Amino acid sequence: MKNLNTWLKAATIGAAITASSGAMAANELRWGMTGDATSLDPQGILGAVEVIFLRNVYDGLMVLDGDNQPIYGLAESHEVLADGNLRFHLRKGVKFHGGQDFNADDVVFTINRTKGEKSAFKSMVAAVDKAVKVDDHTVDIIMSRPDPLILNNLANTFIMDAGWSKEHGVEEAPGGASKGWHTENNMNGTGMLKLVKREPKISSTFVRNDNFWGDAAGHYPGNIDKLITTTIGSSSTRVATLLSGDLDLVTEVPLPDLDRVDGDSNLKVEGTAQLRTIFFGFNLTTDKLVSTEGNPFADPAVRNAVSVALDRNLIKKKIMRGVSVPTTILAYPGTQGHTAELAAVEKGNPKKAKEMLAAAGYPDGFSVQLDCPNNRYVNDEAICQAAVSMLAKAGIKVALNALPKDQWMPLLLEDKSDFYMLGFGTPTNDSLFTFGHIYNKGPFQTGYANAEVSALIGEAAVEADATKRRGIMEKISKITKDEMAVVPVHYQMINWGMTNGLSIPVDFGNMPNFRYAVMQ
Amino acid sequence: MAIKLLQRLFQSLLVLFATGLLAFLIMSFAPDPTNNIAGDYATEADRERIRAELGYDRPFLVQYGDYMIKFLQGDLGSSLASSEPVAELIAARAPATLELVLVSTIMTLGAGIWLGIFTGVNRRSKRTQAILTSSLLGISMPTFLLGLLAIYIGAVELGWFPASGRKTVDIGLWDSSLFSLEGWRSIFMPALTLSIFNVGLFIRLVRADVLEIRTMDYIKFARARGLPEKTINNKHVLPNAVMPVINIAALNIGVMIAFSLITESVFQWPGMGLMFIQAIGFSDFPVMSAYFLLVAAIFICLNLMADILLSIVDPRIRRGE
Repeated sequence: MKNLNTWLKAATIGAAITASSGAMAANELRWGMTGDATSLDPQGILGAVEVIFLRNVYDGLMVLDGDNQPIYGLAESHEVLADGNLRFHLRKGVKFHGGQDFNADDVVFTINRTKGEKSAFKSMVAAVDKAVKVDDHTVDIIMSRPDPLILNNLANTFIMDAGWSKEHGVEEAPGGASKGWHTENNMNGTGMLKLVKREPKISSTFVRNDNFWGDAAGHYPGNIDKLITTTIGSSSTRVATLLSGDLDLVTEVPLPDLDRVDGDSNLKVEGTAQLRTIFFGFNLTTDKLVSTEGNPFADPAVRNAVSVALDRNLIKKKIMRGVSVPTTILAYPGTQGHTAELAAVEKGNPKKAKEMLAAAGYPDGFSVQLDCPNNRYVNDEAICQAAVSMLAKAGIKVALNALPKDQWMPLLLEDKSDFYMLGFGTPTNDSLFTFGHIYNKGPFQTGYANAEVSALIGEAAVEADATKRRGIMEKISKITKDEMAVVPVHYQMINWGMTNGLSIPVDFGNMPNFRYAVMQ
Repeated sequence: MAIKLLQRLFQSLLVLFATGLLAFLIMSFAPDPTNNIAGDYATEADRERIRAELGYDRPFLVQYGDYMIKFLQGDLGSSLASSEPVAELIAARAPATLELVLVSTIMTLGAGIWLGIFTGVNRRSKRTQAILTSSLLGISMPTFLLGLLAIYIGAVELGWFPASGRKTVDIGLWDSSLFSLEGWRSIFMPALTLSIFNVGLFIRLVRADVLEIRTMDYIKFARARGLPEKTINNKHVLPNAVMPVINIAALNIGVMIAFSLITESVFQWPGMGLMFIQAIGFSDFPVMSAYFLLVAAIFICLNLMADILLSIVDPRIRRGE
């Protein structure tokens, strides 16, 4: 009997605890994501998941609005000085989550930290020479060269508190290989969400910052009080968790599950074209490929033949279930360099491709190996398989080598792949980043060399006039399309599954901005 | 006896050492973690710098020596993905796995023994046939499929259980799922999935024991004495049939800890198995090698215990005959 009593007591306590922890905060948003952020340091890792966390907890002098346009964040206003430098007037009365006051010292500190050797966000302030404090609430940003995207870039330069950073010994960015750096799992920003609990690779909990400057500024419509992010690696489990009502938002719904989620009476699917172009690339750094004789791809006519042989609409219909946007250029929809005319896709024509190959000196075609990831992009391996059979009809015999991303990526980085599939996005919401990386000596440098394109990329990097810059960007798209520097296939689509009561703009970078999340 | 034990202990250390070596060899064939640490948009210079900081640019033998020295000093390093010390990471993840295995073992023993005796006693009934057939299905179904089936039925269709994750309350020493209704709801399906294979196995083991014991002379004599069938089953068949199974169940705990990784990754159960799967995805070498060593240590301990117990029970082994 005594035993039974103990058990009953335990059960009652258990139930009481359940009841208290089960009570949901007023507007609690539960987000299921594929992989967790590796580092939460504001200048630690320039990756999509990391930046999502940072953008929601930290602020830059500028921040991004729901359309990814820069608006004033920790700066109240700015002016362009006579010498081209920028003077920012800082917002007053802003406090960090830890209670520290925000002032000009923090801006100077952060710019230095972001420019530091170990910072992964160096590219954001590449055109900035230094920041100079004028008074407590005024800072001059001294430019070493003009940067048309400086306001966007400052929205990705997340301001840290100088005192807090010194206190925790994190005055430098960790640079990836750190051990036990305080900022890896702790955050102290000025943003709407405040990190309260962190279990790496499992879950993080954020609550609303009661002193959020954005509320006073009337910046954001978002009304969530609590955000819980949960990592669920298996996609079927993630979708099942959404279907069973334990999640409110899933940002990566697999294509086969779209109908099921959309058909659920409590859920809806919303989508948009993503800032990620899937394309086939060639190794143009050498005249001797490993898997074939010489380098047929050195000839633009051969690259064009590959493009002509591909039936992009068929790939969309049969493999992507209609959920992709076929293209022939890298530049993303809605960014400079993209026009519908340039991106127009024709039906695949193996006969014409064969003739083009014959004219280029390959009447019998050639054989080559294609290195393709099998767990990186949506249906990556299936797209490659389709391409193999389409190219076979044009006479190019392709041996498919499908690999997990950890084995496929080094092949590309070390120029060991002759012919590969790659998808490329941009952290700046602008196509120039991608042009620079693919056409002009980036880490994914294909070996494509065209003096005119290089010069145009240089011009676009400093051109402040939007109309002129648009012209330059379109010219780059035109030339690289004529020469088929790489063969674009399509833009991926983003599909978010969410509860009917949630409204949040589907971001073309696949990065939810929770400041715009409204729950009913 | 003491010498034999010392011998065994020495052999165990040798095995642990060999596992460490194997683990390191596997690492040297695994993909470079630098790309995961550096992020998508890192420059080649960044990658080089990180590789140098981690020491992956040194010659193979130097890396191996460094690894072995640290290993012998008991330094398991820090996770490359989350920067947490590996020992802390394992300590944080272990309760989830141990609770899962505990509940699963109880389910296995409960269902396995009960159904095993039932099918052994009622040899030819229709229900026995049904139980045996479905237990075969349980044994032959892959765990991940069972897990997904459980999620589909239990969470999506019926909505009785959460589809994934672990709900806990802090009980002082660790966060436990065993002290709240929410916790039990979250542990039920993963534990069930993990136990299905073993239930099938145990039904067959217990049934075979029961069938064998029921042909023994002392059962025949009991029957001849006119004891009711129920008394014979409860007092004579059951204890004798169950004893050997308990031993197997104890050894099986180690196997369940080591192989809970599929169940854990299907249910996103934050235990050591999921930790290992996540480490593989990131090429998180320190975590991977620590997990290898841990699993090896568990098996070594269990075998050592079994040996010692056996030598206590069986004097022939003790005398070394």
